[in-house]
Amino acid sequence: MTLKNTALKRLTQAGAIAAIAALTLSACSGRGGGSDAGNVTNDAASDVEQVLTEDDCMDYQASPGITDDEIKLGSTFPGSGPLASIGEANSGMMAYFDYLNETEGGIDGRKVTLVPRDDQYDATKAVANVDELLQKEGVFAIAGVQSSVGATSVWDDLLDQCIPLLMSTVSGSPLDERLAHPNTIDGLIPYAAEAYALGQYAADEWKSKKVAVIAQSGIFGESFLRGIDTIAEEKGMDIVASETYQVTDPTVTAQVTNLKASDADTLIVVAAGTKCPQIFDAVEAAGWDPHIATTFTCSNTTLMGLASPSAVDGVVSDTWLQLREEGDAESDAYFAAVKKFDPNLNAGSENVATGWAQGEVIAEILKQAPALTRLDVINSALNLKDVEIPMAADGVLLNTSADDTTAMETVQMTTFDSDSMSWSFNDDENSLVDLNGVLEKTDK
Amino acid sequence: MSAQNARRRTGARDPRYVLAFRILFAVLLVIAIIIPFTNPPYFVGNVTRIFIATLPVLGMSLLTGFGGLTSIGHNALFGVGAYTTAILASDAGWPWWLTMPFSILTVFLTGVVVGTPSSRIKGLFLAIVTMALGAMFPAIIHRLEFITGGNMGKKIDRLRAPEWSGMMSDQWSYLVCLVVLLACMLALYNLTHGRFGRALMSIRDQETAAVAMGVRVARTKVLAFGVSAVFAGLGGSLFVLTQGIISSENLYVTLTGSIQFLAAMLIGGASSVLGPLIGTVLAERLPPLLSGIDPVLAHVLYGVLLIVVILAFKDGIAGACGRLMLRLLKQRDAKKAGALPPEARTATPSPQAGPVAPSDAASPQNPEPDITPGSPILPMNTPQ
Repeated sequence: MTLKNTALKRLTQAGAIAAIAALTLSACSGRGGGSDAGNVTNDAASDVEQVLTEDDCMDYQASPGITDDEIKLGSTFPGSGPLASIGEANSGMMAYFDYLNETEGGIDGRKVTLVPRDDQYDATKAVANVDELLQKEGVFAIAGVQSSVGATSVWDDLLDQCIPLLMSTVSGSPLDERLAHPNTIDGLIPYAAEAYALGQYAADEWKSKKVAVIAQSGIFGESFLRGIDTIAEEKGMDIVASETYQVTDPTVTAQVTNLKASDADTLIVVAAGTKCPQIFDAVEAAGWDPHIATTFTCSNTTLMGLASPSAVDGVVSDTWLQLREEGDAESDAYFAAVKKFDPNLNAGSENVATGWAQGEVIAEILKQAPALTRLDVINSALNLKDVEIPMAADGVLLNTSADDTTAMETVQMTTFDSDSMSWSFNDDENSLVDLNGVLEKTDK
Repeated sequence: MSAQNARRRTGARDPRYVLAFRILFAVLLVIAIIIPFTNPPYFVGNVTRIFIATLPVLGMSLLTGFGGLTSIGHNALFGVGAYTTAILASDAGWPWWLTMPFSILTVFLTGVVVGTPSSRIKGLFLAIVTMALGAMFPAIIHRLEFITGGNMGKKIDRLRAPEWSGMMSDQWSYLVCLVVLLACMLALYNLTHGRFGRALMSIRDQETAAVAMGVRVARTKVLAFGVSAVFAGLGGSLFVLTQGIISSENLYVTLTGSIQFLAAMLIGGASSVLGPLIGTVLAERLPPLLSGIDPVLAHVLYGVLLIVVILAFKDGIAGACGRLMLRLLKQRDAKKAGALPPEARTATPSPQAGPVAPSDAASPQNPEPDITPGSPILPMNTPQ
């Protein structure tokens, strides 16, 4: 018995030592880091204003993730789970970088790669993913984080180390928080500003006097409501009724009935996902026929298609993107590229186009950086001056500065036509809305 | 004689098996202690997360594996622990270690309340009642936005290593979670190998017989719910302390969390101490590892694994490993017995067994009924 025990013990001990040795070896990279960037200066770039300097950074590393032939970016987004459709944006972004690498050879001879990580819309996973991207993959910057909670959970730590957080959704955050994070560039139109645009269009084009609002409860709805309140006060419109719903509510009939009773002439719908068609249908079913304006989160053609065609005909929304129609040369190039680099991707999706456009903005920021260091890229991102990108609608110019971290500040109003099941640009005088400085009013 | 009694009471098996288990545990412990000092912070963070996600699975193991009571509401219990700690730490400004006893108490009481119906309803119906709680919980959190932060989440300061430790925050968080996990594993082991565990298993196997033997069924079930809830709640507390945020959209707080806990328990082994850890490692790390190939494929493979494990071995990977170990030991015995002359076989009996019959050398060494976790202790129909 003792003999057996000793043999067994020896065997197990040997196993233990082997396991520990393997573990130590596998971890020989240890708890340090390093980079070999080579020459990172960019001769073609212009000078940019130094908003953030090395004194602002903790343990500053200038150019990890940059090699002679690669610029490595990382992203975390919902790639699976119920909100995976949002993550389509990142597939669009990756398709754009592939396209850029093939047609232009990347940026200054360096190919742009995006290392993707799935967070299932879970902020704590987003944090873990970003840690892993920085420590294991050694990425240069984080780009295209598609959830507000995720992006705002990482922006403090990234700012401390002066790591750029490019084209990521912080669209619900108020102005003072944005300005406190100069490393972060918003990937969308700020929610409050977009709501302001919808309100302004209603006041100027429809001469609306009495406005009703239905909004999703939570930070998403609240940020939009800030904008609507501001424009209503400016234009002398009355918000005669305001209702919220929970994402888990089975119907919105009660809310719509209350709104109808207010006798409003205009309804602003702040919703997302399948609640959008549900609201449009409920309005029609109530026998109510107000002007309807809705946020970009409802404007996905697939969502509009779920509602009854007569309920969504003439609904107005807004976009900062070009319309994508077959037959148009630029659109065809886009469709061909998406088909080539990611055949499974639905090129018709708004999310894919948004990601593509975000990729174009990131490329612009990298191109104009004096050197591929994190500080230069952050400062370059804050020095966009009237930049035009192909995917943006005509008239949408990108501008940023030290006290303005929002790149897109112009929206093009659009109208849905249920016969052709598509959006078209409005061509009236109020259809292009300039939102520069709006956040200072909505977030005061 | 007294030694034999002690063995019978604790359900001891082959001493070599116990020794092997102890050595395995020691090796794992050594590895666990080395990890935070030899790996980059993201890796340490990932392992910390595995430890935390194991806690609710341990709780489920006590309830479902040993008690036969199915709960699909452990996400809510996890959430109660997390939000109690988060609210006390942020709004009331309590230090983290002070929030935990209060959090444990709250979640224990919640568990007792949730468990009360279990004295009357069983099986599928109990699962549905707990599922209702699990499904409601995120909506309740969303509704109580003024105190919970709704879907934007409640943020608190992450655990920081005290100055004297000389450690980084991730290392400190890791070790705190490791200590809590070990304490919970030890508690589960002791609970299930004592009077309470036997009472619980007898209810699982044959409730009528358990009542006849004097087991207080309602009290035992409700207590099992309470203790199981404490494990889940501890997971929640540690989660918010190490991650710094909890929101109604967090995976573990939604019903999906409960499904993950349940799947991890079944894959790892419903009635063992290491099973929940094995199951959680697979549930947490397999999808990200496989997603490099194809994100959809990862979930399919995970599903296939779940089906295979359940079809092939109902006691999970831990149970299968244990049985394999026992079989190997028996084969060794059989070989040894075959090699020795017949008189030697009868002359050297195993210390805890009678003489081994030459014709049946591979039979169990211990003729006493083996009260091992997971095996029915009463030879009656076992509900699965």
